[in-house]
Amino acid sequence: MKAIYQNTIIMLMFIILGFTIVLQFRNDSEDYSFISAKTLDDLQGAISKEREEINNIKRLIVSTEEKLNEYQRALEEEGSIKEVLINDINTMKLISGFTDVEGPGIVIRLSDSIRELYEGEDPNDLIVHDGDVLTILNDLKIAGAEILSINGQRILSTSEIKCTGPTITINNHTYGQPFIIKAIGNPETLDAAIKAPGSYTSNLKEVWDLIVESYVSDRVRISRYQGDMTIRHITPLEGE
Amino acid sequence: MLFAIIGLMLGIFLGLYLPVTYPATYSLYISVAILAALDSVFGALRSSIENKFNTEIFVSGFFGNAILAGILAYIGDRLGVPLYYAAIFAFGGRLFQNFAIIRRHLLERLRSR
Repeated sequence: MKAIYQNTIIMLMFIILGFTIVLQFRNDSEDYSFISAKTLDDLQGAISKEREEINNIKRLIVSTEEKLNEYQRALEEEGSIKEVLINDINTMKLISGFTDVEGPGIVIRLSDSIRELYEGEDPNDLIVHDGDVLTILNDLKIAGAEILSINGQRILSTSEIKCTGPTITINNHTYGQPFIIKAIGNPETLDAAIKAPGSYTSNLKEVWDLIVESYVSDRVRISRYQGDMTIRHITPLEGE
Repeated sequence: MLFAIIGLMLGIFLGLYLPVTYPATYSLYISVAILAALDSVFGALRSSIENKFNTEIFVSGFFGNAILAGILAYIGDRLGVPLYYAAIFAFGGRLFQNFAIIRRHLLERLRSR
């Protein structure tokens, strides 16, 4: 009888001991360090950013699955995915600038001023610079231009616009003025980007007296990139 | 021994699954109390090996030491003197002492076999 009593008490006490130890372990594992409102805010921002990223990736998964389904359907129905792949290639070519394209857009003609120089004025004030062209291109991109060309040279992601004396070199071809910039996109926004008071182009026209002529057209034709792309340094990363 | 291990297991199990929490400010006191309780347990182990085990002494030492250590730490906090060091040194030192004696007893038992 006494042994049972003793053992029960010992067991009870060890239950208490184990309970408190585990409680302490659990309690201690949480971090109670001081957190400022800014840290909290930063962390919340980071969390929402991560969530957004997750959503983007999920969307990517969905679109990739759709693509896969498309391939599989093509395989089942026609026995080959050749057609789908050819479609893909055409889309890629369209985006990367290896097809002639046509669409609504704007044509801008940019040439040097024809007025006389003032006494002692820098003649640089009267000519079109590479920077002017670059800024106009950027304005057009902001206004939603999808495809751009200058004097028939398709603008690719690698196209340079470089000052070479009184001329400008684009895609390794050198052109004198006038520069004809073509852009395909929503003609209204493109036109607004050029003509809006205070925009870079209107400044060129009003302040610097350069000659800027533009017209909107429903059928702007832009030819494909004429040169060829040599890839020497890049290698695609697998599994990204 | 067996009952002790079963009890410990049960306690750990309960601690893991019961949703009990306490404010983090009490964490230190409970740590010191646990140290005191552990000291009592080692003392009990030693005395049981020496066949001098007494339940009353064990129980009173277990709770008494734990509560005293906790209160000491609390008072130390109030006074601005880290009194819990006293508990840590006293019980920690005794814990190792007890363990050393237990070790010796066990080794002797092994040798005499």
